[in-house]
Amino acid sequence: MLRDGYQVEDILRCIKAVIDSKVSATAPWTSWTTVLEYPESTVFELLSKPFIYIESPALTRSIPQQGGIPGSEWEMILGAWDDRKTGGPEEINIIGSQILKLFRDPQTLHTATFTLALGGTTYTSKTLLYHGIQVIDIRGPQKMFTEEDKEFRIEFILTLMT
Amino acid sequence: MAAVTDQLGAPASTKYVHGENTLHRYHLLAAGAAAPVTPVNINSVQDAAADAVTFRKSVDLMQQGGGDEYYKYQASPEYNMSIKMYGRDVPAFIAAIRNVSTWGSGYYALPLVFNDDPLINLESIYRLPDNLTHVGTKVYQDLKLRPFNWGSVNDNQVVDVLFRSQYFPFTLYEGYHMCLGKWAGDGSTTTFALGGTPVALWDIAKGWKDQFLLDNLVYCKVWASGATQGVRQKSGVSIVSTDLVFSTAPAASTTVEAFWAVAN
Repeated sequence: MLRDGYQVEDILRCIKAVIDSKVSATAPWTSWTTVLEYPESTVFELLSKPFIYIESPALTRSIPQQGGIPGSEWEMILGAWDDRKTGGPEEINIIGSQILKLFRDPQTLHTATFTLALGGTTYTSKTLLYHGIQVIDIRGPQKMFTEEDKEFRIEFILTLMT
Repeated sequence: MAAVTDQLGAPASTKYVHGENTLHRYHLLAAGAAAPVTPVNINSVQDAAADAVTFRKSVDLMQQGGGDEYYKYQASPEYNMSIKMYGRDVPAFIAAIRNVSTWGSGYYALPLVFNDDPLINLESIYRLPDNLTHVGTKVYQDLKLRPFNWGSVNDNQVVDVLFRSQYFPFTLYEGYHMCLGKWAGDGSTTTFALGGTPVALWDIAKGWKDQFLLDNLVYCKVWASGATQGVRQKSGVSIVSTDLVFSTAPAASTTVEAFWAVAN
């Protein structure tokens, strides 16, 4: 469950874990990999297949309650990058479509289970809702600049509440 | 011990209930015999709004010697509610709740004028964003269509379908849902199987009645043959285990209708 004082890290880990649960088991996700944050150049040179990157969330709105600490609304960037230079955007479009499909299906998304250690506690086969996260919107993909025409990069903005 | 300096913790994410996750479905009062009648999900709902209950009769009763004390006598409740839905689905929805089963296949025009007959009971089922976890339900009884119309607007057409009722709405605890039962009366049968165990309803013991016929039955009606609405029974009905039992068998060619709650 999200730890008080560690939410930025824990949300990042949970969202990555949901995506990893697909990458480890379900085609076409098994063709891709995931990384935390957009990798530094020497790192992504070592990545040989398309990857999905997940950036840390940022608090965008406090949801007040009278007499107490407010709830939180966050935005975070999900991105995908394909540098295999195969000549076409088909793969990046499939990645984008699968991301949208996952994050726009409330039942599938919020009932997907994953195992994750947060702090010293391992949570086995839990859901986003168990950890206190509700995904409420996703927007994108937005095409991002790449140095070469045959590289493709897209980003989404994910909105969630805790 | 609670103190004036208490600071509440941040709300749990499960406190956030979004209308986008609400499932709306209706129980058709003109349905054929079944126990329970299968409810029908409503598509393209954008909003379901309800006014507070008002009373057509409201009198403050005072007496000499009572000073400023008074009792507010209220009777003949009514309230309005509405469902906003995509205009594309409104004609079919109106036809369905008016039980025009051959809309689009036998009948192709439907006047937008409505008799003052109850057509549906409505459940608005609130859920968490997984569209699975039930957090409570709002129930509306005996909804009647109010006059409404629609024109043409730019962008997506959303139409306000208007209802009214004379029977209280109520909330239903999470983990429970409503059942509508319909049976044919034959003049001799007194026992009608509900198909499940009805659960207890809150009983307002004093003052304004909760309108629930029994502590575990919202209402029971008997429809005469050819009638456009049933007559709510005030007595002569009981629940015995999972059966609805009449002290006197409903007459032949009547239809029995009952509404109760069960666990999911």
